[in-house]
Amino acid sequence: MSAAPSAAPSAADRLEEARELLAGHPVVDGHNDLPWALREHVRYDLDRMDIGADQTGALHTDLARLRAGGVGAQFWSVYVPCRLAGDDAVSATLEQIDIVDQLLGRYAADLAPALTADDMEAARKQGRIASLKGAEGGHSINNSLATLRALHALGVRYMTLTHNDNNDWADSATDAPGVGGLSAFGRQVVREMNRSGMLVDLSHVAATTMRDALDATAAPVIFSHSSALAVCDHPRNIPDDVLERLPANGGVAMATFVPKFILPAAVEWTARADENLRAHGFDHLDTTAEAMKLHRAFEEANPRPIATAATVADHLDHMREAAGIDHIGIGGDYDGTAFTPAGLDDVSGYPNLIAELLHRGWSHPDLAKLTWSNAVRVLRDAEAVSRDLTSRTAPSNATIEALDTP
Amino acid sequence: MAELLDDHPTLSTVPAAAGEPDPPESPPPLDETARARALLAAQPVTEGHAELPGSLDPEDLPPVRAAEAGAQLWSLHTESDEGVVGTLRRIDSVRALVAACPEDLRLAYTTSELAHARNCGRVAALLGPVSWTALGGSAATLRAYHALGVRAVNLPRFDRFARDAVREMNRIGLAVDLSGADQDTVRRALAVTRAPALLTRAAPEALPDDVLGLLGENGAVLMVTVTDDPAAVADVLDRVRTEAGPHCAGVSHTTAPALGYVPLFAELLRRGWTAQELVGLAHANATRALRETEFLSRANRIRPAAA
Repeated sequence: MSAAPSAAPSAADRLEEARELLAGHPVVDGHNDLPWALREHVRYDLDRMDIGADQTGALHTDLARLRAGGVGAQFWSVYVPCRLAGDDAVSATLEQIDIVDQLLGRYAADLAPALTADDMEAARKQGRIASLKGAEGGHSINNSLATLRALHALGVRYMTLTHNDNNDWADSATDAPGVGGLSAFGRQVVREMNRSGMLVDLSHVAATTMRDALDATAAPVIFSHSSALAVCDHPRNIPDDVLERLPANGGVAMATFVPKFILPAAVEWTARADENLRAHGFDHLDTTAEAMKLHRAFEEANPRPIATAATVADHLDHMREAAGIDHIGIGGDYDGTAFTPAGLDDVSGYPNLIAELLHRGWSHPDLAKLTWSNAVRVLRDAEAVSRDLTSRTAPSNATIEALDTP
Repeated sequence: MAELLDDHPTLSTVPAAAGEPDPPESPPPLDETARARALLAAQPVTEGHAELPGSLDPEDLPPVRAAEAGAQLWSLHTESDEGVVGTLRRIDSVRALVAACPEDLRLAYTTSELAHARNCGRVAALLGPVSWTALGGSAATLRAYHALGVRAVNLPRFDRFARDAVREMNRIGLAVDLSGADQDTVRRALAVTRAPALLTRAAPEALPDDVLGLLGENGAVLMVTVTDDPAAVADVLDRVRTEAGPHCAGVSHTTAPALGYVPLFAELLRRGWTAQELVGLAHANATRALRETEFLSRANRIRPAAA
């Protein structure tokens, strides 16, 4: 084949270019739920679900596909569901942390334990995947700042302030208004996270909580897996006024791939599917055989809308406009969502997203910021804030009873 | 404390402690109190049990303790309804206490750090034991405590989780503390553990002679509470020495910190304990048990983790 000099690069050329780019500036992914998937599928039996082998079909994630996807750093979610409360949530979080540490021990040739931005850079130089931990939901600390510090000591480097439900001190995007954003104790949690060097993650939280957290924080925040509300009106996404505050804050919004959050047609489809379940007397989160049968029948009659890499790119184009090129990143939510966009089916898909952005004219330096540099910078900045606060302030032992009792 | 043992001065050459009149030119043999004082000056005590003050009031720091203490295990004891969070709070509080007293206390996670803290003139603080109920039957929680610096777990009763837990403790390097365990539990735990047990608050009077013998074979250290009655404590320690062996004697804490450990050590000298045995009682036995726990863990690391 002899291409004329003026010919536009083919899709295959762009994919090759994307892979080369990722070889130098791999993806830092903000959120991967492999630990919870391992708990649910095989009760943490790593012999029965070996990510050193091909897990296509069973998991979105295994080592070979992470490599194929150009992943250079992963925040592994140590998520526990909101139905676990109190001490049960803390214990389950410790189990989630423990399984990540077991993975790091077992796959040490590929996964490098990382606690700092320097660790991330060192892993990149070694060609290993820097592995960090992120907690998903303030219920994991059971209203205890000592527990927050313990999680940091165990290597947790971000905490999402809520998951799908409100907690005692912060409102979730997918729950009715509670304390109206962050309570006084919630603001203290944010400050203690700043002091510890744990990133404040504003995915899943209500817009009121996002704004309160941005008011309270002394360090950059992240959105570990959230996209743009202006592109797709779903409460899990970020409103423009919040995206516009990221340059001043220094934070990073990591676009997620979950179709039912990012594709308007999928949002609408999901609402109708949920309504269908409720009309038949089921809860919309019901996964019993009967409910799933009903759901499959609905899906046959109403084909599921398919998101693609272009859908994600639409969000990134907008987030770039609203927040700026220095304040965006990627957080796929693999193994935390049943469905994924076409072309981004599993963790091997990131090059397709980068190719799409190349097609849209994103430059190499811009893409390097998106995939790698922004996320590393935000952790480094949080470390600097932590050093400063630690040197001149004592750890807080505030209690929710003392701060939030009217 | 290999290095402390290697260069500890010959007792007969140790000068009398400061504040006493200069010895005459050809000194008479030192009495037992002076010998005990000299020994303890060179061989500080590793205490098996220290408790957090009720509140961390800066006025009360550092907490009161016997002058002869050189290392302390800080109890993380919780009630059964306090859960994991109760333990994490206590770990956090001990860390805060140590941070508030940097000239006095230093956290130690290994026996070499323990020696180093002493060589720096600090009292070494070790975290533990945690309460059995604070594990919630989870090996992951056990490993989390270890990762947070805890080095001992109290095993007062042998339940379904205990066998796996003790093996995991051997693997990762957590001492098994059999304080408060009845003789049946002690027998069962000793049948599983491959590391020396600790009894940070030992009550040897509750254990029959043959169990003391088993503890002796295990190399366990029975850390005995010292009171203002040195003769009564010496009776307890004499029995430990006879039935378990002198390598099993240790000190938990003193209920009379102002008095310290000199009267007890003087009494034991009068009863014929050798200087070597008293060094063991002060710290060497406890250090040996902790060091063997560390060594066993290193040798065991190649095994896979328990589920």
